[in-house]
Amino acid sequence: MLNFILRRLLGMIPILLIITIIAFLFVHLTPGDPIRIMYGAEIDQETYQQMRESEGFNDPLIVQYGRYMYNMTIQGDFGQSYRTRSDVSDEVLRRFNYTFVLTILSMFWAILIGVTVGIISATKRNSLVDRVGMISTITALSIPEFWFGLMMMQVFAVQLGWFPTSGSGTWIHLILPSLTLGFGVAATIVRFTRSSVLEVLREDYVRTARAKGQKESVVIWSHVLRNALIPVVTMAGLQFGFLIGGAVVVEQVFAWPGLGSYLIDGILTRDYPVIQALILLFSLQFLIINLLVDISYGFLNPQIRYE
Amino acid sequence: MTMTKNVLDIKDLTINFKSEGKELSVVDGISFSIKAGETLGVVGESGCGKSVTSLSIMGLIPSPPGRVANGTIEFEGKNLLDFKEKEMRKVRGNEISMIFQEPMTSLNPVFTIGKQINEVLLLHNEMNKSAARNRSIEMLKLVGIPRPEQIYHNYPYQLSGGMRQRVMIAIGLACQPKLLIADEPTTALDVTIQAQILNLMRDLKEKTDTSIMFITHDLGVVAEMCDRVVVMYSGQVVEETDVDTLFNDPKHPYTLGLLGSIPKATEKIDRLYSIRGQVPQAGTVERGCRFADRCDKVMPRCYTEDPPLLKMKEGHQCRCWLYAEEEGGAEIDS
Repeated sequence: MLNFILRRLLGMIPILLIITIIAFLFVHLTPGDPIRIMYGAEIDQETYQQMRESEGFNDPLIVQYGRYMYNMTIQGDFGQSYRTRSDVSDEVLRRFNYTFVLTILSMFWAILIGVTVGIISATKRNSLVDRVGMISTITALSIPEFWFGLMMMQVFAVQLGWFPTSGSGTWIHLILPSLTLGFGVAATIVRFTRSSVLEVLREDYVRTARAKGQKESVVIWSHVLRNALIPVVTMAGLQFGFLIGGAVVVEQVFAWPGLGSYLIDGILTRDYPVIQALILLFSLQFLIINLLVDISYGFLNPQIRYE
Repeated sequence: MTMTKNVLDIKDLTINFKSEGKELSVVDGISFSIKAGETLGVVGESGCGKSVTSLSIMGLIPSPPGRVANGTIEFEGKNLLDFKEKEMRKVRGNEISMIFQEPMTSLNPVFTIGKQINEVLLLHNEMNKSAARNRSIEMLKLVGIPRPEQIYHNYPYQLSGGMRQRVMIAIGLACQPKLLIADEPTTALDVTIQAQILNLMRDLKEKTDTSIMFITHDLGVVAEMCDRVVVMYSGQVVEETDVDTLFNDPKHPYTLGLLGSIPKATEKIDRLYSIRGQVPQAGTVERGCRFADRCDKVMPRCYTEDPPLLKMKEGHQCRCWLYAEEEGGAEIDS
């Protein structure tokens, strides 16, 4: 098991290396000049050239990439934001907590709502509950997050006044954004859980459990669910990646000071170090979640052994 | 012969299934009984209603689309069809248990063997976990599983089909049921393993005095295992008799056909006999004998009137017009 985790962690290194190249090329080849964007026409040609020189923009890309990699891996320096002149790593670490809490709570909602509604839908197949559930998931999947966020804000914050409209500070601030973010994922999990449970319900061992005289609730929540969850976990893991992307939008809507707004500001001002660091971080997150999903298989499915 | 009381008594059982808006009688007015300590064979082709009948005894007919439309299932004098779900749960796995055709898929893949035997023990007995564990290991030993302490911690995928069927039998017998329903328990197994499982079931029956309802389509297995036999065709009982009479003096053309389809080691023949045609879909024959279209001895009467169950001799009944006059068979029901 430990061996497996270690091997998987080592396997991440080449992947991350490739991602640094892609991220580097992506930011440097995108049209737009960070110095022009920041200072506009205020500076004359001479100062402009000086600044380009001091930032190293005039060097060949390969040299710039080498310098970037050297600073990051040997010095542990992710660079400074062009805009704020502060260390990218400090800022990322500070904001990471916000995004982390937001995505974890969203995932919690998504799994809680998704698995529960999915099971109810499957066991009460073709009933009114099932139909309402299925229509709701289609709706939730079709609604763009920013609009859904604004509607949540309008109803629960402005009209009813139960929650603050935006900002951060307390747990209450977290409720609306996390629900907004979790809803789309919940819808996907509902559909997945439903079809998975329906499939497992047809299995012979479910009939065996009933023939033992087991209660229907135990049959569903223990015998069926343990088996039905295996594909759901895979999908939920992939959805986590989607959640990271969704967080960028939702953070913007609710003025949540996480990485999302940092990334958007970074892209708008061509803040190369910020964009590169965040792409790398999101990729790393995705890889780690996939690893966690693979590890969780071992607990769900006894046939999987980590050799 | 001493009078033994019936463990199970099924009367006029009719089970309907809804299909495309129409209700079809998959099981149509069957009656039979099982005595204490007896093994009753229920024989018939796929789709004749054997499995549905067994599931109805357990109260496990998927409903909808299925429902018991008529009749009674009396177990030790009480009609199981009157039982509420909660009462029925106390019967299942405890007083009546069931083993299935597919040992490969009948055990839950994510739980250990031990946990799956413990489950039924803990459900129906006042015992703690360690007592259940001891009893489970004892059961594994009883069904001839080697290294039971180790197998207790194994998962189903680590066991072969024969071993899994032994585990299913262990689960089935763990609470010492009065009736064990075995729905084609050896059909999915290799011939050598089949023989082992049949021997095991016979041994255990002698030890525990459990009645067995043995569902099969294999007459060889019937000869091996059963005391009495019910032959089912298209949802009806067509012949009921003891096992000796079945092989020595079968009456119904369908039973004759089944027996004729068994290859004999002592004869060399070019082509094995088979019953022509196919089983009619349940509920599609509206009038007359359901076997008429496939019968070698069909008479005009067979197409117009439903044959009643006729008494051939004590304990031998047959549903066929052939015996209506000549044998002077008395009509038992219609």
